[in-house]
Amino acid sequence: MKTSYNMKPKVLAKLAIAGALILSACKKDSSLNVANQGSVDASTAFATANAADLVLNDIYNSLPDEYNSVFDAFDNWSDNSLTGFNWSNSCNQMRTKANINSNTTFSYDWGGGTQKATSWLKWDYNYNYIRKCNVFISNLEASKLPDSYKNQRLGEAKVLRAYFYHIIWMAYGGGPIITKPDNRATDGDSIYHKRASFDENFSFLETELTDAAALLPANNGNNGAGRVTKGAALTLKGWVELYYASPLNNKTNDVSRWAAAAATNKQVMQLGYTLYPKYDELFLGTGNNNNEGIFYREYLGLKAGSNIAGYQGPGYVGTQWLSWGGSTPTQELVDDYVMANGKGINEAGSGYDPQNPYANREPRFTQSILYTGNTFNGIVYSSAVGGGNNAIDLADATDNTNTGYAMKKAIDTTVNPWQGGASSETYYYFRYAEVLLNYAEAQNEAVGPDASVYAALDQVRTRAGIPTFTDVYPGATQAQMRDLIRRERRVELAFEGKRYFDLIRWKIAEVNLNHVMHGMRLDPKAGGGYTYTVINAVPAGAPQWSFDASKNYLLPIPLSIISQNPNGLTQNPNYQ
Amino acid sequence: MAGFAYPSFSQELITGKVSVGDTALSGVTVTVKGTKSGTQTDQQGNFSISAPANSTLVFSLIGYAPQEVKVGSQHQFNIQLVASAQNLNEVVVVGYGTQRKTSLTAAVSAIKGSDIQRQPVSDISSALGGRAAGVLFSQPSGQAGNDAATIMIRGIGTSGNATPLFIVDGVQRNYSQLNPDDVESISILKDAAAVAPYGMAGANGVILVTTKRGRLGKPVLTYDGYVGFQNPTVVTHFINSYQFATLKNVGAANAGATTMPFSDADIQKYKDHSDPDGHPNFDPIADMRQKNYIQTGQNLSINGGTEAVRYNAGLGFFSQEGMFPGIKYRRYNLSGNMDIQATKSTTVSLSLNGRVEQRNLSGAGYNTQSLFENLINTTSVSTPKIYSNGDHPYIYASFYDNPSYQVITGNTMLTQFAIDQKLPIKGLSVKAVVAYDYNPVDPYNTTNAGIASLTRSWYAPFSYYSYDTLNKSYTLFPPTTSPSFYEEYHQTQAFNYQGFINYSGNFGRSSITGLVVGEIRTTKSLMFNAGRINYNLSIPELFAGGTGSTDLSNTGVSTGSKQRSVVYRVTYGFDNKYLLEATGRYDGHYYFAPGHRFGFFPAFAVGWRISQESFMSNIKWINELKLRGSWGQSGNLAGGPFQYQSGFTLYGNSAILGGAQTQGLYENTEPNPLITWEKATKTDVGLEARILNNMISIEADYFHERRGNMLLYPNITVPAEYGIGLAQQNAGIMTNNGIELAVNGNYSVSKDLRVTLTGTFSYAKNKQVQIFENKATYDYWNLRRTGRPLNTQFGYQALGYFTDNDFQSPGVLKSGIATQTWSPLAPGDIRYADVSGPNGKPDGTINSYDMVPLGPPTSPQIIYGFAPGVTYKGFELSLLFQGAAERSLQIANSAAWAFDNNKNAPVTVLDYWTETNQHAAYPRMTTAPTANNTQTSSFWQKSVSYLRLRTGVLGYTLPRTLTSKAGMSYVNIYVSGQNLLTWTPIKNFDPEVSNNRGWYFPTQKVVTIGAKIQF
Repeated sequence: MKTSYNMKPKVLAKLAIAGALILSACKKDSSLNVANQGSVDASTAFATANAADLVLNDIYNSLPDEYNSVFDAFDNWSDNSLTGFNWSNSCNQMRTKANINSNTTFSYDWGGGTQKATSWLKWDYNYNYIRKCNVFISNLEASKLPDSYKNQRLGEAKVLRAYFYHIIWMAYGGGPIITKPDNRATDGDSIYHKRASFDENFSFLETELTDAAALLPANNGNNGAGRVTKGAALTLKGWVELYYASPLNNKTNDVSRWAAAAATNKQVMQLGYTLYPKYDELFLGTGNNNNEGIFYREYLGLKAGSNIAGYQGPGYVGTQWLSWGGSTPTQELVDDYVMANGKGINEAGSGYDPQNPYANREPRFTQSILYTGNTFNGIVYSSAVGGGNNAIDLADATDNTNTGYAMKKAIDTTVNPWQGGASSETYYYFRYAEVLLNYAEAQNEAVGPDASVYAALDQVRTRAGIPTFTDVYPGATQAQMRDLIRRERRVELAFEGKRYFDLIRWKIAEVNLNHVMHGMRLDPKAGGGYTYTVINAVPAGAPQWSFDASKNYLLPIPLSIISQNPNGLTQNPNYQ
Repeated sequence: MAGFAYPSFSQELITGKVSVGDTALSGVTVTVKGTKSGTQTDQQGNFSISAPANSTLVFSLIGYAPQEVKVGSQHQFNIQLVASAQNLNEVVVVGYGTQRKTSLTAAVSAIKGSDIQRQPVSDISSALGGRAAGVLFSQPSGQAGNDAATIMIRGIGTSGNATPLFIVDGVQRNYSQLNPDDVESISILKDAAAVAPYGMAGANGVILVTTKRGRLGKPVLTYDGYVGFQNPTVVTHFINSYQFATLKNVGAANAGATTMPFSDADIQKYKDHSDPDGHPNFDPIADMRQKNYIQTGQNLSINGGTEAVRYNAGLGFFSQEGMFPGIKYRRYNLSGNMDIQATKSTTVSLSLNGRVEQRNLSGAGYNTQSLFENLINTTSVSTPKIYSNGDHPYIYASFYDNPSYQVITGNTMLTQFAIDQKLPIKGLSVKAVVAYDYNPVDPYNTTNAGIASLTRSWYAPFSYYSYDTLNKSYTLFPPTTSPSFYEEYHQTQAFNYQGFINYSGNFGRSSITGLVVGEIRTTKSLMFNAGRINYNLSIPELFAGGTGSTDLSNTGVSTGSKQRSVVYRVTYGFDNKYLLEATGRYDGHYYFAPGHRFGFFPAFAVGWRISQESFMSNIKWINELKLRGSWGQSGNLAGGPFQYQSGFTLYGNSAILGGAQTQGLYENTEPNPLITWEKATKTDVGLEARILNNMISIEADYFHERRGNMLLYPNITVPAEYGIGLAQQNAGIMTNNGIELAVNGNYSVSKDLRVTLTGTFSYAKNKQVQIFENKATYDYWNLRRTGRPLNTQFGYQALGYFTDNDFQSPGVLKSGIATQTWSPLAPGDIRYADVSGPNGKPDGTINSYDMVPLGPPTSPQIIYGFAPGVTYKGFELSLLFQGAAERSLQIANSAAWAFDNNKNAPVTVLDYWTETNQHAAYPRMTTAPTANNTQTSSFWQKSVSYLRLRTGVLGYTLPRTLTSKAGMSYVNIYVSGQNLLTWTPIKNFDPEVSNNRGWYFPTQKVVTIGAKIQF
């Protein structure tokens, strides 16, 4: 006992030494190094053109993914279509815009991902994408990559950045203009940017797009399909100028703004784009890689495909459930499709029969809208009362159409979304037909309906297979032409996400979005045929359309975003 | 001379029997004092041992006072043990060692392996509820093979990762799929003194599992097996088609519609079932589930040992069918270990513990959510289960004819080699442990519990019939797409090296122990997968898939981890009365930036055994009284690795450009080079007592924890226009307080009748002291998150329903009633309280200023259990009641509302508001839930507290006279059940509901019959 007691100090000393040895061995930080796989530093990311391209690819991937909108297509914000159901928050918010306030948490879609539905409108998402562009541009400029490469990619990034900025500009009236990646460690309070004015945003967009167009080639070739070209830069510029010239933003009707828009669109018309001969095929995989697409997003079947058939198609194909019916066209849209003779249904000599309303309509009607008697995948569609699986849903009991119509345009009939199908059709942010319509509208406002206006519109009608404006409406006045262009534009670009901002810029949203939306009820008649009745497509109890002109021409900036930059951001008028 | 030190006196064969009263005691350890020589009593209490004539035999068994007898000339002994909870030698497994229960100064709960072995569960975690104080337990799913419980030790102390650390036999490993029969004990380490040895991984508490090892004695072969039937505790029902049609019409009429969704003729057909195909009736879960699906566990083990070698080996098989076809879980466990006395001072231990498990998931839904979503979305009016001609509609075919499947195989092998060398200095020893584990954890498996070494997923379409109501015809829909197939492989290898220096010595009235451990842990993980689509033939193999370039896909990634540490523990005891302990760890981890990787986590504890004081000697009814306290720091790795690094991350499915999918590089979130671990400061005060002749033991603890450096995303500190997320910052502070109580009583009424009762109670409540909060919530007391428990639900306060009296005209409320603008209002809609406004006063309108905290959070703040037991002769009845309280859930969607998403309605909506039923459970009927009535509010905030009979066992041990004739030393047959009875306020759902839409597997009720036989 005695001896071991005496051992104690030694024991403790030994323990201490052993401990110290292990400690010192462990103290080396480098012994804990583990490679972070899949992550590279900025110098590696911009060392080669191949690597830098990957950064830009990610920006392309941030463009709106409208063919995967879960429920509510962007046209549901307008008077073109509505959902086949009335329960979703996003659909309620879209309809009752008057209820939107700065506290509104937009239910942009069900899943809420960054690439779904109209989430591309979100303020913070767009600034995330703008930062991506800024990071790419500043690193690219600082890199040692060859100038020829730098210039083209710089042009692409500038157009993409302008695209995100133009969404903020249209939806919110513009935001802070930030052109380099902020760094809060070195930039201090300057990361709290002040909101730029609507006009400043416009000037920025116009300058940027002019610069980008100069850097970009007219054509990227097939390997560059989906990339931004000179045509995309100028088309976006022409659209921005048109938006700036439009009644909402051009209170004094400064004709020079219209002239500027016409001139830019004219520049695009000289780049060699042509309309794809088949209107229906243009929106299906078979029509991909055409000479009409200017700025678009490609899809790739099962790998990275479009799920529009499952989200926006008709409820059933025969007896097989196809879709959630997120997009059912309104009677308002249907009525704007003209007759096969080129005349509007209410025009003298149109031959329109309200009790046989689908007869003798223009080809785009049959190609875009599923109505009772039209076929889908070889099966005759019927929404008649008691007419089977797709019967009109008058009481909102199911996902089925409330209007009596379903969407046909861009729905690939060969896929079965419920067994993993996805399709490959291209989504167009801008295509040449819109450029022609943009030009016609701007030129009509700038100088009146001259021959070039007719020529542009006639191209669109000829491709659609309808008698031309020259044939049907010779000698129209400027005001008549304005209405005709607006109708033509609505039909040609239906379901392409264009209608809402057209209603806004024409300052007619308070009219077009402040009434009940209509559908068509078909009751079978004894002995065949139907009785056709135009009905209120929104059942009692479901939210009706409302638009408050005092505020809804701009969306509110969410309060949470203002609270993060309270001195830099001011709320839009009349939003608390 | 050496020979004299270890004399070889003549060995005598000593035999005898150990009993308590008339009851034979098995498993009593019989050792020759001062040697390693020993054995155990068999089932009849008999033993035989060789011992020198002048030696002393020691008889010991947990729960009994040890007894010593001199051998002398007597060779036959009948020993009577005295029951005693006060066993000075009872040891508790703690971090990197064991400690005597009496000298323990840390808060540690121990669960005996035998307690959990009678519970028919696949997953050990789900047997821990109510067993130990301080374990807050919830079982979010009852899916076969995926029913692990969520265990939180002393509640939730952080907004980051709050799961405890799992240690099996001293090494970090997942424990839940071990064979329960292999488990010797489970220790729950709770306070700073207990967890400090685990440094930056210990703050959430530690679960230490110790597996069985060989015991001295002749080989004991044990068979233990059961077979049972499972059914859900609750089958959630939805309204039938007649009710569906009627209520839809009621809703339409309420909305003023003139056209009814369902005609009278339709409704009649739903009512009389005269047209089962055109007007079907379907109750999704009840109609599609299986009944009485089988679960079985079969175990065979051998245990024994000699002085030189002790061994334990076991083989286990577990199989569990699921609630729906195609869902299944199977597992084989194989374990074997040996402790070899290599020299008189050297012990070598070898351990192997392996398992193969297989989870089958149904083609009807590869995860719980999609399966229940698809099922619940099928309305009662949409389809029958099977058409009257025998054809299968889609929903039936998707469950019963679906060739799709996902099979997840897990292969795990835990291996360990240890050598323990006593040094020439008395009490000093060194030990080295090398452990190599194959798949001890799976960092890539986030969607399913457990290990997923290989996942094979076959997606194949199937044909089904549809009924055309117009033509009254059945149409076959053959598959329209081709099958696809994916294989994914995960592998993790863990290398653990531990070096121990152990010292223990007594000096007069002082006793000292010291421990230093150096530990290195390195893991390497990889995953890859490959897929093919467009199969022409149904051959689920990669080679057989389509060969086009877009038919192929594959990817993979690897990762690793490193940790280096030194652990110490020093204890000092004076007079076995005053106890001091210092413990801690110096810990380094790869998560953090160079220069910020190492931290020091110390803890201190004191104990005072009051009962040893002389002034207590007169108080006979107190057998043991100990007061203990601890204080210390520990860490938590709440976030992820590499948050200190800037850079760009590569991903493979970026934009389609030029017709091909590209790769993308995106900027990482802004790094935080200073990021570090969460730091927990824990204080604990505990009282342990045994009273009334050791009949009752009590352990009570109060604890307080302050979690600093809590990881939070500070995105709120930069403008949204900054455009990129920020890495987490160590900016949060949270406190967590609670109490625990464990009571253990046993009483022998007579020599045949013995009753026991154990009870546990745990309460923990946290508070967010400092978090990032935006102005909109912080400025309004009712909405403020700071100062409230984590995950507090906010919503409106429902006052009841509007009545006719509240309206001045249809849809227009009388003046003075706060407006609610979500949707048009009518009598029978939920009315909310106007609590506040922008100026802090009620403002006549219901908006976000009127939100208030609603009820306790979703994880229970109180868990309790009590386990009464009775043994009478050969019979034994033991029950475990377990409950949870202070827990609430905001139910929504398909779990709460009628026709949400145009789908079903749960039966609870049948009690809906009408003029004549104004005290209804559900608002007025609408064809779709209105925005007004679906606001987050107290109306839908449901208490999900419960008390359930978690386990019940009724067993009978056959008389030995009978069994010994058959060569068996012990035969026990039993019936047992799991989740047999439940008391809860929530209706139509299991109270452990984990998804507020009802998309989850309810807890399973299991009834089994089993037997345990020893030879």
